[in-house]
Amino acid sequence: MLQEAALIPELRVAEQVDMFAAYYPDPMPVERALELTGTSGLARRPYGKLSGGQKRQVQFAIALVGRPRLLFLDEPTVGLDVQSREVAWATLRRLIGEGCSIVLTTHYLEEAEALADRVAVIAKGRLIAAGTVDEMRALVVRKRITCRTILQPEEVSGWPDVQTVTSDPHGLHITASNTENVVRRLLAADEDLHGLEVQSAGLAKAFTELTQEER
Amino acid sequence: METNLPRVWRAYASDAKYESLRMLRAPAFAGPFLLLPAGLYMLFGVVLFGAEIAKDPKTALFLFMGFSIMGVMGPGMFGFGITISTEREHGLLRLRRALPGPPAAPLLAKMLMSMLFVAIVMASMAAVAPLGHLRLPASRMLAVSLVCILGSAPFCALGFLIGSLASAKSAPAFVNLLYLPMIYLSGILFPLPKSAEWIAHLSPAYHLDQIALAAVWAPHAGIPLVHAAVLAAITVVFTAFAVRRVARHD
Repeated sequence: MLQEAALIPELRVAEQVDMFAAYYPDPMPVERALELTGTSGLARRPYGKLSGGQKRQVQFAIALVGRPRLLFLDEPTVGLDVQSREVAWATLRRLIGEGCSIVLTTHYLEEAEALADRVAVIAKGRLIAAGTVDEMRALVVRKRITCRTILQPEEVSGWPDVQTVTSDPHGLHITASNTENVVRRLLAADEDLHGLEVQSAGLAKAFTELTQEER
Repeated sequence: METNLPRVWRAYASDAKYESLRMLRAPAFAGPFLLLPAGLYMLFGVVLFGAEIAKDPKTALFLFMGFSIMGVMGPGMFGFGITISTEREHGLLRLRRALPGPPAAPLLAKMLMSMLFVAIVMASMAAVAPLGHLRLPASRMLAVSLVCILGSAPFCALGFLIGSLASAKSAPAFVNLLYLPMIYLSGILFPLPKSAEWIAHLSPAYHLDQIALAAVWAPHAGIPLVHAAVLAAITVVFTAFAVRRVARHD
């Protein structure tokens, strides 16, 4: 599946997929490839009359029609609208469920988070981290605590496990390696503490931190 | 039945089927190349000069052959020239190379498409031939049709070469630059002056015309086998150049 390949505009979608299916020893039925990629409704439309997103879905059907056991997808959802991307994600999940292995490159971290069993982060051509999504998050162990309290930043920053403390009109923002200990001590120190929130770092945050460390 | 065919044959058959289908669906291509030869033959051979031609069976045959050969040239030259340059530019040839299909299948498909178009042209020419005061026994009409169908190969090679060299935008212009002069300078529609007859020998259309005349036992120049050898050589050499060029630059 090439990023900008133009297929044959005069052929209908089902014909186009059927033409490529003939190249493979054991292709899946054309209807199945169309159904997997959410293009069944386009089967009789000429390829030249499709939108950009629809064309990519058809190209994806062509990539699947030979029943690949391993798929390499290079930024498959670039330029897709939200709906088409959801369809593509659902298709990938189904393929994985059927035993197909997928290597997918993406700049969308939510895509890796939503689909991947294993994530590898590459910066400047070097592999800087690899693991499951949870492992990647754990690499950046810090968690973020937000709360409204009378405690002063200077006071809290001296506590064990606390890494940074900042304060703004929304309250106190603490990053910590062991949030449970810090939360326990916060509650003990200030009985009126409220608006407590604990967030773990998302993959996007982990990615930013990993690549920043690389710089 | 098709699923029982070996995979390679299935790939060849599917490519040929869809290449023909797409070209039949392209009105800018199918319209002119399917209708023009018989249409022009009717205009010149029936409407404009019908009365003169009725008294001159030699001219009737000459015109029929001329427009038939013109019908052979178009699908191969334009079909290959335009589609190859476009597919090259848009990455379709590269995509096909990445797929497990037989590498020659797209080329063979285009050639069979051209032959199908020529077969349709010849059927339309045969249908209107009696109006042009041409009486050929069915066996000879069949022979000349077969010669024309096979004779589309060198024009496919010529189109292929242009398509492998020119960009998608310039390919139609280059093909026209060759196609139009070739029609006139081959002497297939107008006899050339004696001093310019040598030019015709450079054109595949002239050689095909002579073979087609020989196929209906009409007077012709040279030896048909030699003409066939020239056409075969053009096909092989141009195809080889084009394949090399496509393989190197895409």
